Amino acid sequence: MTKIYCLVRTVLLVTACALSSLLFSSVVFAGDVALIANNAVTEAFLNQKEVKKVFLGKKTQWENGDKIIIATLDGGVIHEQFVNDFVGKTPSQYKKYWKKLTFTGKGKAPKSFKSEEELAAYVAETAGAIGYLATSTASDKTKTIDVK
Amino acid sequence: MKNFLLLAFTATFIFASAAVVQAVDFEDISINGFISQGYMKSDNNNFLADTDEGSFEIRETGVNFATDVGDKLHLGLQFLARDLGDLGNDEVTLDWAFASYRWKDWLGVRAGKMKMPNGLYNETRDVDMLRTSILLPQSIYNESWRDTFSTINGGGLYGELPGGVAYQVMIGTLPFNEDGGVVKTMDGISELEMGSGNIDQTYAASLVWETPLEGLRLSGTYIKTGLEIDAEASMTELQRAGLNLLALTGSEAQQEYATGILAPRILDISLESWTVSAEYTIGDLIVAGEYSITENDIETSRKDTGELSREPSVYDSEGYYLSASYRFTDWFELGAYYSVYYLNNDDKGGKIKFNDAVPDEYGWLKDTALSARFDVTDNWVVKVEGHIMDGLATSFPQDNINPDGTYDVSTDWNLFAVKVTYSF
Repeated sequence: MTKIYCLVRTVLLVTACALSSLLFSSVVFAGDVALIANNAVTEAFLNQKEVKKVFLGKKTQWENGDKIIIATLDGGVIHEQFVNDFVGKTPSQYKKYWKKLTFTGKGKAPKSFKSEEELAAYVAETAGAIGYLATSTASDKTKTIDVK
Repeated sequence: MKNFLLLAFTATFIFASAAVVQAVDFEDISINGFISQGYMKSDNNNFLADTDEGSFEIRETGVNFATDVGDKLHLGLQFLARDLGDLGNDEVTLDWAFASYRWKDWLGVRAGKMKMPNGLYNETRDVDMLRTSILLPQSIYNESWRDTFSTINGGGLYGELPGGVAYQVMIGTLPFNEDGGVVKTMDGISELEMGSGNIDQTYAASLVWETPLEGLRLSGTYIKTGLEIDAEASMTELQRAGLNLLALTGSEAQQEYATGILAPRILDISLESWTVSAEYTIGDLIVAGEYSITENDIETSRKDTGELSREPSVYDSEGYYLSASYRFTDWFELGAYYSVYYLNNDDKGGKIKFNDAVPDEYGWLKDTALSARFDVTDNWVVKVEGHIMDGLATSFPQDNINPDGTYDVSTDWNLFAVKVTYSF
């Protein structure tokens, strides 16, 4: 009886910890994520479907025929917010999606960066590059793409 | 002992590599790979390996190289070594190697050895960490024929059409392997002993529609192919198979049965398969279902005269499954599926067969599976899985034969599997 009590108590404790970690995790609201591109990119805006296609490797060229180069973050709340809201996937589903392309020869996973600063620097110096970061991090070294 | 040493070597290699290896980019060449080692144990019946005793012979190792040349050309290749019971035996093969030129988003061309689409997951079936389960539902993804139906050598077109429709069309040939699963299957279910062979021109077409309903994708696949396999027949095996010699077609065939000297045979197998699929992703929940039907037309004839040596077998195989998986945390995912397969959907009890000696149980397989997946780190995945099985279709009859030649099978049985994968 004591063993069963201990087991139930342990399960309840683990569940409570898991729920509290969800409740107190960082929250980012829509509008906090900005889509940025290299200054030479001529597009001023993309619609939601186009953003999704770009970050899934289904839209590979800008309107002028230049190659689109994707830059992503390794993880974190901005990455989670972006792939959830703009790509319709969880971070693990997004990672799996690109592994599927990598291991079937259909694509190369996008370059990913540990910090928004590194991502912004890469987008600024790479022709055709597109990425995302917190709205507060955006600078004039890259252009902001509006999402309609 | 051999298995243990192999596992120990594999584990040592993985641990040694883990410290230093991540996905690598040398200039513009990306290098990715995986090594996956499993263990399967059944309470009755051998399934694809010596599982009744417990088997470590379930393993894949792969490494690939890819690069972009200019804005539109992509080149890549992958080496794969695989072991599953008698199949593969860790021989390193060129899994895929092709050039892909994407002229526009709606039109690209591929040429080389490419992954062949079939249903939702055929192209990724070699890569364990991309799914929740260890074994994919056998009703659609027959593990024993994987070596032949994973890739196609040839060319094709692909692209993204307006409305969220992705298409692929391919033409080419499939790899034929004398030591592969197709030959072993035909050896097991027929009265003949298979030899060399070849595969006819093969056509594959696939459509995947990302519907306006967020998370729902629908897919359809069509494959048409044919195989020719040289085979030997013996009077002993014909009689063991219960063939009524007098009922066989052709005067030449009856004459050779009378003399007891049998000419070499040719097995001509035509296959035409349609698969429809649906997958719905709602947050961390993924629900999927697929249905497939394959028309089989199998003719056995004398190699010298071309005369049929038995009535052609024409039948439809049918398979379907429903699955669900849910990711509870970053590191924990649960999945389950129920899968049903009938070798001949007009004979769900397995009574009609090439060889009467083969147990009825090879006519169907109903599989209820529950899988737990643990993403220990970004690179390490551990899976544990249980199957409640009814029937033995898609496995090999000759793996369950007693020394005296009788079959030793159980209708209802269970399979346990565990697998560890490292990828970079």
